[in-house]
Amino acid sequence: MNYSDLSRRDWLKTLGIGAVAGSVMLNQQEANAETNPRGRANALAGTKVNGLHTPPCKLAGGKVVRPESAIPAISETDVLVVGGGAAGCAAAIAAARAGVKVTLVERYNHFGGLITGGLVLKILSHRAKDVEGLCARGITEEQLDRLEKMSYGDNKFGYLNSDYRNSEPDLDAEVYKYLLVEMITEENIEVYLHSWALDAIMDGNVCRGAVIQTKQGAQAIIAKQVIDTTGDGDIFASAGCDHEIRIYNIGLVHRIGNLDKAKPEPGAKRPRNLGGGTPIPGVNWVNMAGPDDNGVDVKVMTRLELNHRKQIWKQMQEIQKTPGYEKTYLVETAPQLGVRVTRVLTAVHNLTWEDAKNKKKFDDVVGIGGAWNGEHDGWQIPYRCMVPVKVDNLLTAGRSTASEPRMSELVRVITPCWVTGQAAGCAAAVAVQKGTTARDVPYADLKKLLLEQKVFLG
Amino acid sequence: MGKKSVRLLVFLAIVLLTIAGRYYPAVGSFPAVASPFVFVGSLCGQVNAGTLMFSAGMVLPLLALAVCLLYKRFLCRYVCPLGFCLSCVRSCVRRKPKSSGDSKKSRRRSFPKLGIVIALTTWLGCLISSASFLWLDPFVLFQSGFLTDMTFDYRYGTLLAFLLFPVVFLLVMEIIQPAFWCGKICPLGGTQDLCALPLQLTAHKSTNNLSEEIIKERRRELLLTVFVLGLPVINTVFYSPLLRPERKRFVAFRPPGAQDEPLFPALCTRCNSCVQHCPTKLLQRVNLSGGTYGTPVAVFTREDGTLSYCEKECRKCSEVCPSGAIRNFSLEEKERYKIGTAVFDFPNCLLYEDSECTICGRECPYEAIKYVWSEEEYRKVVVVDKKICNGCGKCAAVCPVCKKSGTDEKSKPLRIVSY
Repeated sequence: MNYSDLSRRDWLKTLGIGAVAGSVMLNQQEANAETNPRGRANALAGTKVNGLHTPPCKLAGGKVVRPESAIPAISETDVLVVGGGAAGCAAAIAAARAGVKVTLVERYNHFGGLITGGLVLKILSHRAKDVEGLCARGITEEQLDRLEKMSYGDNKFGYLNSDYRNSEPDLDAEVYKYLLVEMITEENIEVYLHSWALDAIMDGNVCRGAVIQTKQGAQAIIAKQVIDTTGDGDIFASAGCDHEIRIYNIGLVHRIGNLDKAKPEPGAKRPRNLGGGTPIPGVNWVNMAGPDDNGVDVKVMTRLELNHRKQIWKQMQEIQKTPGYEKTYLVETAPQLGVRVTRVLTAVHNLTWEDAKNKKKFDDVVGIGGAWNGEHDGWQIPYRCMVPVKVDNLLTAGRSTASEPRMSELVRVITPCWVTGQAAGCAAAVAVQKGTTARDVPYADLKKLLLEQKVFLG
Repeated sequence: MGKKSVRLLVFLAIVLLTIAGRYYPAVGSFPAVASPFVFVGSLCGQVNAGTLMFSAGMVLPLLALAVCLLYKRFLCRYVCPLGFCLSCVRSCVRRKPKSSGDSKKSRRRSFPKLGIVIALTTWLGCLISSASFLWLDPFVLFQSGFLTDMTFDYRYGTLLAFLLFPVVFLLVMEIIQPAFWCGKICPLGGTQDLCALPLQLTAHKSTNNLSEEIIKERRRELLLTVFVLGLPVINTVFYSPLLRPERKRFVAFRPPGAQDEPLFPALCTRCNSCVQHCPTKLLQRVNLSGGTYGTPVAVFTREDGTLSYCEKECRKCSEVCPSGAIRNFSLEEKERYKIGTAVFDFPNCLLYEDSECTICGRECPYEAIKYVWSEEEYRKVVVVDKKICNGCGKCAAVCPVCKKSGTDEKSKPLRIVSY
């Protein structure tokens, strides 16, 4: 074998690949040359392309600058929901059911946000002491009902592990991912997955959509109404709305398996960190509170992610060392860091703990929040706490709903996110249909729509 | 209007006030506050505590004192509700006046006025922070339903005598020896006698030559007095902090704003008003014998296992306390008057197993509970700021672990201890 010949051929090959890559990277004159390789005989053949839609950033005078450039609009819609978590999905479904065109953007490959991505499986706050039945109805009750009805083995409560009517059940993340796909496709919602929210599109004081970051660069979605359900308030922060950043626990959840095969020695101390049950036999999910830190700071998030993974491994080993628990194993760690609360909007009205405790009545109530374990009375959620002070046609829902720090604890859990999400979706739909700004949505129409969607208003 | 109708009207007014006091704490302490006996005791206690302050509430007893200086036994004749009750009993029992003996009468007259001694002992006790007879005040007796609330709790035979004391004792006494209680024992009567002393001295000087027999009799009565008063006085001294300094720390919790320990049972009239008015039923009466019995204590875990706490926005016990045993504090001042302090036991807490529970921190009315990250535990730990913590017990009352029935004290994550 002629070594030098082979090596030259290799070298040439490398050069050739490099040249193709270089031409892709450097040639900017034909910016829109990207074509869809689908339908070609050989999918691996590749297509010659010339850069992204948007030009790269430049280093100018020691600073990185983004050159001004047109961003292609890939969609024009009535209601744009940014973030497909608990609040986002509820908002999109609610708005679509009201009969407007809805676009939903999600950064991961699934819906459900922290429920599914964060493996926070416990449903809390759907009950209140002073409310018979659930205090959160509408989409909340519908989802729980559908999860319960999804048959699974001999489990009486389907993909929940207890009766949601009088307890706090845990759900199964994978099944809930599927349920959301089913519910969202039922309503013909336009969906963009794998898309990170980048910027708000502003027309003066009015929000007109959002720019998303995809693998093909920045792309724009134009909308009449925008709902920011990113949880971190990425859109309202970009739009320049007043907000605060809260420093709160950031943890990482994991699931452990084979617990049904554990044979604890009689009288032996139960190991720590076994977590709580899930609808899957022998599988528990283990919560982690984590330290207080800034959940939008990427350095913080990276550090915590690494530390938490080490800690989970350490905890798992301790469990496996316990006599009787040798067969347990780590099923998975959550794909998403357990950020509790970060940016919180400063809205027309900010919910306070005193309001909740004193059961303050609001004339624009759009839902009832519950108590974690139903141990105290329900509290009214006014529409005002989702409306920014200055910016128009932008609403927020979910954990970024305006509330004082003590109240965050109640607002951030899953059920209030569903409730505020549904309320924001309905409000945006009414605004589109009546041609008003989100701020001026007539409450009578909103209430009518909410009641049509079986939302409980006290 | 005759004297009798005036008395009846006054009596009815006091009854109304007493009943109204059960619903409106502001007037609840009114009759007892008006008693000069309780007033002087309270003054002595406050001098002892160094918290002497003049307030509008003092006008009434001062007025009563002034009137008593001029008119002998004015309160007995026109105001005292107990005196009115007993006089009714008297008029029912004694149909016709007996003329059986001068000797009996003179014997009665020669019996020493124990009331004066009791009053003086009580005030002295208040000055040296020791248990006393403040609760013998007729207004207090009447207002507390003759201490029925207080006595019915006693389960032990040794206290049977005290159980029978108020109503039965007074009735029997009134039948056997009419007006003996009012004339000789009542400390309020004694107070009035003391007031009238200057008047008496100026009016006439006794020139009676006492026969030897009478002197002998007086000696016998004196011995009786010593005997009757001896036991409580020994008890008083025994519980005095002068002899028993270790008694200064009382193991139970007192109401907020309570005077420090040896002083509190000295000042407390055992009127039970604070226990009746406590909206959360935190205050209950202590069932201990000795100098502290009948006084209120804060009981965080009730007998049925439910938890109680002191409401931050409440100062009812302070409003109703007639004697200053519970200081008259404002809501702002309440933060200073601690009941105890909360202590945290991590392994019992839900956070130990990484729950998301933060209810104690959210509910703490004084914002004394913080959650602090512990790298070692890799968890958040509850930290109670002892400087701010009032010991109100709200955190434990809302804690899901503490609340669970059947949780014993040892497995509670939050407990209240003496600060």
